[in-house]
Amino acid sequence: MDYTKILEGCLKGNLKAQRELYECFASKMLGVCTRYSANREEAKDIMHDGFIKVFTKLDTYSGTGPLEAWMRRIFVNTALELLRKNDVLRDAVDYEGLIENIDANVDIESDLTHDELMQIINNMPPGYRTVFNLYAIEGYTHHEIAEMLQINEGTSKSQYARAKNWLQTKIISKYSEL
Amino acid sequence: MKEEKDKLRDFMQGVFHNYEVKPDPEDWNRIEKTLSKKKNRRIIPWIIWASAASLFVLMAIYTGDILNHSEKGNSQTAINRDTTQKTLLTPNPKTKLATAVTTQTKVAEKKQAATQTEEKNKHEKVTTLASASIQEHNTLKVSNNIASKPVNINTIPSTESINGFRNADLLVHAIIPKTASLLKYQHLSGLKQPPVNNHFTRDLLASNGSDIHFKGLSLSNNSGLIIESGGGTKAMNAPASNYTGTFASQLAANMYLSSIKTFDNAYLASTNIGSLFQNKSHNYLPPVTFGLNINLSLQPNWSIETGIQYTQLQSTGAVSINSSNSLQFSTTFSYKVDEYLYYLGLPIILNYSFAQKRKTSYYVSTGLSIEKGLIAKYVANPEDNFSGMQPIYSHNAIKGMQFSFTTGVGISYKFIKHFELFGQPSVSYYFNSLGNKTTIFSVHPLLFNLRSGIRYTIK
Repeated sequence: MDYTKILEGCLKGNLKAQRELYECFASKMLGVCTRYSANREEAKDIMHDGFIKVFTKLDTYSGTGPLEAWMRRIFVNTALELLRKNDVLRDAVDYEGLIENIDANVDIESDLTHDELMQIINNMPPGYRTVFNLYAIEGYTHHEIAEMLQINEGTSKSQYARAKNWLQTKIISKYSEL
Repeated sequence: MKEEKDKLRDFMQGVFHNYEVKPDPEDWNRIEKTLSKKKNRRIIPWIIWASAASLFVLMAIYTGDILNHSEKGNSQTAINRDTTQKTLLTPNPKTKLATAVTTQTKVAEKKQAATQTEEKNKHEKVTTLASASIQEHNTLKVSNNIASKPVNINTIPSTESINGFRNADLLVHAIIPKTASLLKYQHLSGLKQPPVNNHFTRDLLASNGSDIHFKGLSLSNNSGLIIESGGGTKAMNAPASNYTGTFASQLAANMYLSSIKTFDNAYLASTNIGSLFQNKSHNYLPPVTFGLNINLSLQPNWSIETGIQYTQLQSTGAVSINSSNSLQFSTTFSYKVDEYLYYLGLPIILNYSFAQKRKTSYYVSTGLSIEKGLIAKYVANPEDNFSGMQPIYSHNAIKGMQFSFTTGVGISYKFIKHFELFGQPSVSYYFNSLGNKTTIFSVHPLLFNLRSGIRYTIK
């Protein structure tokens, strides 16, 4: 889809164009925000701040890469800012020494729906959830995550391992309910 | 492990890459509202700056008005100064020659000086004795009658009666006849500490036939000076014939006739400039206030601020000092005075931040301040162009407290965490002070000023 006209309108501060851009990406971006949040209200806060940033920083978008990827980065960063602001990453201490004791073999061949899986992710402790999102879904490396979250690379790895273990436990628990 | 990790990533990315959550309709409304606010915020800074600029213009006009007002006052002072009567006094109860010499205006002085010059020109050789003899019990009042008499060097008495000089700087302003082609000086014989000064000699020789300022002449006990023009030195042994009085009296008459001014730095330095300055018109500069404050956030956008604020007031004016004691030749000197008043205060201010952009915040504030005067300092610089006259420095205390109400618009910039620089054009009303000073606060209780400083913010 060509967003040129919409972007031009947004750059002029045209509210109608901004609304159009919002309509195009709101659902996807709220999906991104939901993954980093414990609840819908928090996700909506992140989406609100993210769209404001998009509209105010649109002039920094070079136009060379996909618009969606550029926006996604903004929303992820906005989510991380909120997490940092709320100090939820405080508990993401170095658990590197515990990695070996964690069974990271997760059977993901489940029949859980996307929403059920999202619910499990939402319930993860913030530290696990953040690293899990960044590594498993956004595709960042542990080195990149360590820089983004200003933590050790080992901490990122251990958080991810524990997140997987946590996920496995929850999935098993969910199956046992069925 | 790596294979399993990749499998999980592939699975998760497949599931969540296009994962969507439908927003609520009010979500856009909220965004729209914020965008509208941001648009307004883009406009508001212009309004603020325009308001601030207007405020400064008003302040400038207001200050200009103050300055004009003060300048008018000073002009009046200047006129008064010109017409101030000068009185030459040396105490000498024994002397019956006791009349007052007054100079009405500078024009009159010049006319008189010209007359004297003409009279002196009648003499082929004129020698002026310019020295001062201080005898504590002598009183002399020189009148215009005496002044109108021709000065004849032959009437200058012997040096034998020169006694008891005080240590002082003596500056002589003498009118030397134009016919005097060669001027010399010599110290009186038999003196212990003659005022030999090569620079002085050069100055004297260079100033042929016009007003001469004998600069930086330092007289010690029993020193004296003979100034001589033409050829040869007149012997000055003969006692005064047409003067009735002691040598000091005659000398005083001569010094006056020669438009001599004397000053004594030590005496002048003891003057209480502050008390003299209180009754004079002032030229006020706007107050400057600097604060070190603590700002406590109460709610979003609201905060209360307190701390220490330092205020400096400055005003200028002029005073006249009559040096009638030291050398006992009374002369009025004019001084330009700078007054500095220092206050330390405690403000209690309520701030409301109505716009923020990154590290910059725009706010309105209102509050009260209580200030205690610390010290009043005065620097008086002589307006008379006499070399060797020194500035006078004095200080005194400021009594009482000063209360004020302030409101203004400010801008703050957070330069490091918790610390902000702020500048705030304000309007303040200063309540009647209990202090003993006439200040800009008491003369102009409603003032525009600029508060600035550093603020520590606690959230």
